[in-house]
Amino acid sequence: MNKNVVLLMLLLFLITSANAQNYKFGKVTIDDLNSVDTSSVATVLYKKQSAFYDYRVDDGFVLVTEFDKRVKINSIEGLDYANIELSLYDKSAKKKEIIGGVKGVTFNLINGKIEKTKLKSKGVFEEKFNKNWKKIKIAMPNVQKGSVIDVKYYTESPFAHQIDDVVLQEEIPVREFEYSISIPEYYTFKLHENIKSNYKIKLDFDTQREVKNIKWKEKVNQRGGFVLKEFERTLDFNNRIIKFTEKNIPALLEESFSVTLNNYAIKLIFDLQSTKNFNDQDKKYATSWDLITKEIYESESFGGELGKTSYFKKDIDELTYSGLSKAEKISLALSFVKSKVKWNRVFGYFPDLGLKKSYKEGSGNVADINLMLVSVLRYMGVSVNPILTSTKLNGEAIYPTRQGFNYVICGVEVNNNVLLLDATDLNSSINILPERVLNWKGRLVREDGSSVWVDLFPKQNSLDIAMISLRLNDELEVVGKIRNKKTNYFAYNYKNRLGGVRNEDVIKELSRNVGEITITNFEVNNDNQLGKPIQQTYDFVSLDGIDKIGEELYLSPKLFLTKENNEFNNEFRKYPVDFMFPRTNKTIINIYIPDGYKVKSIPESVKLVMSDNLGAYSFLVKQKGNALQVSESLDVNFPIVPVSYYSELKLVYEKMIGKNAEKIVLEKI
Amino acid sequence: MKVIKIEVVFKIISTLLLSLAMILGYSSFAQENYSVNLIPEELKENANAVIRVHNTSVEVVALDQMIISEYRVVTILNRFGDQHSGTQESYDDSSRSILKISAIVLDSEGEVVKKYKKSDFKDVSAVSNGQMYMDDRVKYLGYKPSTYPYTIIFESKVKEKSTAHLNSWFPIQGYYISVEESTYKLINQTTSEYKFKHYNTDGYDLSLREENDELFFEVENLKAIERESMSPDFLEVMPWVRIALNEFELKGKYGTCNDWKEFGLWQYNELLSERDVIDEDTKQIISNLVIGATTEKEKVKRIYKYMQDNTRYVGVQLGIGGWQPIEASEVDRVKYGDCKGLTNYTKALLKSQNIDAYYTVVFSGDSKKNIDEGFASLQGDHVFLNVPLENETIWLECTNQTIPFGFLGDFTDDRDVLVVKPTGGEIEHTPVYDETINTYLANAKIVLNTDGGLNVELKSQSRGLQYYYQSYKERLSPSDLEEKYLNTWNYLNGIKLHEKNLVFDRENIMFNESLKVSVSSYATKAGNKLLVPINPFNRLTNIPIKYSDRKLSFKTGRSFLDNDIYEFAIPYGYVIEILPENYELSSEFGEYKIVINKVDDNTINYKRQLTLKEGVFSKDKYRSYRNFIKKIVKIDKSKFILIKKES
Repeated sequence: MNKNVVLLMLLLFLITSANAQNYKFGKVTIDDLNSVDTSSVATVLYKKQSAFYDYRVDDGFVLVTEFDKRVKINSIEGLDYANIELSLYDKSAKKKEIIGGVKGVTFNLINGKIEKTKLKSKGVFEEKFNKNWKKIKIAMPNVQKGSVIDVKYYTESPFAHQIDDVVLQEEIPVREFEYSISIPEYYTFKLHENIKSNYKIKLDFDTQREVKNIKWKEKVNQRGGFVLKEFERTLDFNNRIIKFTEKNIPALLEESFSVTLNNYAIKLIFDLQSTKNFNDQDKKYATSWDLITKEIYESESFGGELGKTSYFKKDIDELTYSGLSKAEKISLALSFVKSKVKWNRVFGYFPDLGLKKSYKEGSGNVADINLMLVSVLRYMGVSVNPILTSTKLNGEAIYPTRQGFNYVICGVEVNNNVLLLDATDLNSSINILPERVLNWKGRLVREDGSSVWVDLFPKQNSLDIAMISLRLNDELEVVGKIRNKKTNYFAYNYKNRLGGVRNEDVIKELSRNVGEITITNFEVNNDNQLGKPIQQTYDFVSLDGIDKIGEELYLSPKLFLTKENNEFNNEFRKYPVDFMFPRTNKTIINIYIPDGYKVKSIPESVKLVMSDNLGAYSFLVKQKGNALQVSESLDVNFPIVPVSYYSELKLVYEKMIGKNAEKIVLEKI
Repeated sequence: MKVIKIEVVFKIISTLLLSLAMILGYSSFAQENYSVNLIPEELKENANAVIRVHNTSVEVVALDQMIISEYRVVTILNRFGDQHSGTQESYDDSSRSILKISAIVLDSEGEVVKKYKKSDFKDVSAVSNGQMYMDDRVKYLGYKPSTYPYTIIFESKVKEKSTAHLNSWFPIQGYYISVEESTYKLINQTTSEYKFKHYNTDGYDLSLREENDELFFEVENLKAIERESMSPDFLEVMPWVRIALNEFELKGKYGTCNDWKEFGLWQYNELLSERDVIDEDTKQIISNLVIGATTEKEKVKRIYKYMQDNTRYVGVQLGIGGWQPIEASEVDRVKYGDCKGLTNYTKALLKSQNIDAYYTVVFSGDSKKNIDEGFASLQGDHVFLNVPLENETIWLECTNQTIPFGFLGDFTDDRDVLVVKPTGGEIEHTPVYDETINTYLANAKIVLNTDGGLNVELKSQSRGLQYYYQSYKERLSPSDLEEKYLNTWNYLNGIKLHEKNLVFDRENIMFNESLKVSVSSYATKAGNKLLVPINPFNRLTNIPIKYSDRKLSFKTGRSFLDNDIYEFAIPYGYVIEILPENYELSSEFGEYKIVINKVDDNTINYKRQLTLKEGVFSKDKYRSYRNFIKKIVKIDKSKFILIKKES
């Protein structure tokens, strides 16, 4: 441990000792070891995170964070929590985070006595994960069901401008979390909480004066050239201290159909507002969406890239687009960029390689590709603008922070509408974006630097419509024809899954788990056409869906399309239901009644409408001459259904499953 | 559903898998024309990728040095073929280094699009999920094509210090890949003899040449093979050749493997001996533990429980290429280890009580794979323990804290394994769990109400592998467990779980489950009738996929017996109109029997007995197997009909 760190520890101690009550590293009580919590495989008994800025001659301010954690292993399944893993940025000698002071102790209760086992360096592993990251893995020794472990370490980050989100919530419950940070007045951060967590962190603020001697090095022009010279001065400044102690933080729970869980975690978010140097000169950072957007737009690597056309000019000119309509130009440009550059799975609103280089290489990050699309469209005379967005994993852009965005797409403003484009994805098309982008709102930036919010959620219901006509043959097999049309996102999903797949394999896919069925004359259109609906037709013979019991025939009106499984059997719901896109599923079936039979009974028709136009369900059966017409329709008009509507949604699903199970009964005349 | 830790996987094996996914060759080729037009039509059939040429050369310079070269040209026909570009190479810090790696992308005409050199390859760690530490790394290209088809020429040269494991020859490296030409050359410059063995090569025209110190294989024009469900393991259907040296070095240790006895002896002496020592304190603990145990078996059982209660699995692959266990004394201190460490530790604990136990090497996983009795070489991917007692042999899995004593689950059952004894290696076979062991007995009292809903008390008992497949429930939190039940029965509309009582009897390998559930809408109404599916809880639902012309043999899962008895009480105001008929079906795949009785006017008794048998069957039996399952699926959906009493 170097001298600096000793100093840091001392300082840290001063800052935090006032709060440390029950916790002391390496000291547990018999009560801690005896306590059993069966509701969770492991529990964080105590967690402390203390951060402050330390000044270094070579690096200036670095952000030091000390971590302390005490975990109780409640069951064998919780043993994994005795393995600790963290990722550290590790790009170059100057740009790397470091870890130090790793200590760990495992406590076990043996015959009423506390037995300690210390972590040795052999239990700490380092893995160079890739170019930019390394992983530190710690395996605590001698851990069993009932053990308590203490782990502590500190990290140092040279990125003083950036404070990581403080995430309070984990997969296991946290009994107590004590946090503090001390930030010198040279950095001003704005604080945000995740409102979606429905949790309010009780923050304490304080100020503390600090006087310290600092040294730094600077290049100075002397006779014979520049030399590195050391300077010294005394700083007298205030630290802003932010603290909280939160108790009994519940675990994050997973649910099916759930939006990204991390979006709901309780967290504290730091956004840099301004910095100031030792001579009190301020540098302000944007703090409103408007300013943040402008700042990004005006940077050379973003806005500056949009004017360049030389690298693609020749290729696009060969495509003779002058006579095309605006929509045709957009489609052409989208296909053009997709064919030239493939996404390398790296996010970001700033180009990675630069547009010209990524064009040449044939691959690039999100910004390389979509800013190129903007350039190409502008070159073709279509007015188009970039839209800064945040992916589902990054969370929603609620607070004005630069980290709030991590992605960029394009938008063409047409009347009061914006056509959205993303060229990073194989099957995306106009207003059909990959799922990662479908996240609330994005910020469209115009050429003059002004910006507006644009809704990213799909508004138009995607349709999946099946028209079926069927009859019974002499062997009482069901013979029929299906015409199925899928639009928008249904078509998009189909193309992702089955686009370009051989018909035989699609038939196998369609025949999976639908009883005994033979499919012939299968045809599909547009499965490789961007933006076009999928049209699928085939003939089938199904041996299921009809039962002859006594002299009567029992027919499932939806045959092998009968929906049997209810995803919403749970009584309560914690998080909203994420349907990704609004939708209408419709099935219309014409059933010809076989000669010699007549209808004995048919299912009752129903119609349910959810409040606030959220959705609707209907199931109608009508007899027309010697035919029955069954039509079913399910609408979900919003991509995300809030928890408050869950009981209505559950009811709709229960009704739907129930109706699907009902039978048409035919009897001999 | 199984929840078990994925065992690891010695380093050599991961290298083997990697080499499966890629390849190498001679670099001195003048560049040929790789235009897509030159691919014969029949090789495009069912193919997502075509191996134009693939040459592997293994040059054993000395027992501690071999050079592996690959030259591989593959044409990718569509997006599903991208994964077969194989532009990657593995290495590690200690014994395997990449001398050369490069790639050239060609367009469909065979014109060069772009060249990649070593520094263009990405470098990442190859530590697999669930592993704490390995030093394996991979360099890969990750090329993203913008059009299809395209062709990639990949070349690599690797230097390896260990000769204990030679690349096998896999001319077909996956489904939907055809092969124009594939060759393998072994150049042996040492005095060690080599040996090789063909697997599944009947019907393939492989040519073989041996001259001087060279062994050469070649094959041409192999059509792509379609993936078919239920087909046996890839290695059991594809042609391949295993190759090994009779003398070798593994991380500086010389060894021989003319037969298993000799190779086992080498493993014992070089990898295991003197690593099973524990200190006096621990020895004392263990001695106290076995006080009062009247039989050897009882002692073993107590010691095994001690190991299970005090350790956990942590994958740290260190020591002699990942083949040597951590010393027992170190495991004793930290109380964790990988399979080798924990097995050797258990062996040491037993040894402290003068009980002999043997370190045993196996290919793990639910797909059974033998250590080849007829070919001694570095094989296996997992170890466990063999304890021979006077009247029986006990097998102990040491990486699982909850598995019953002496039980192997489907992870290492029924296969040939290598038992490493001080007298040498011996091949033994692990226990078979069949339908007399893997049983499920259920009994339900079902009350049907006038709305078509159910109230049910369901009691069941699972044994053998049926216990094992349910045992994950023991580890679920109450809310996850509830979710699991709702999911399992998500076809029961409006199901609610009111009470559950689960007892896992590890001693007897028996799981007793007792549930109270209700279903709000179960029976369907049709006019004045109620249609009631007779089997609410244990339905066979999946019919195997139909193949008009199946090409591969097929394999069924572990044998089991299910026996369900349900008693229905029908609602007031209804009478029984029609009951399904009794049914019986028998074939080489199993037996199925349904007996339905009207006990009285209000009570129906349903008995279902199903046995499905494990086996590997020829492709021409697939149709009758499918019909057999189809019939069961159909009968499992039978309904009885109730009709409203005329009032």
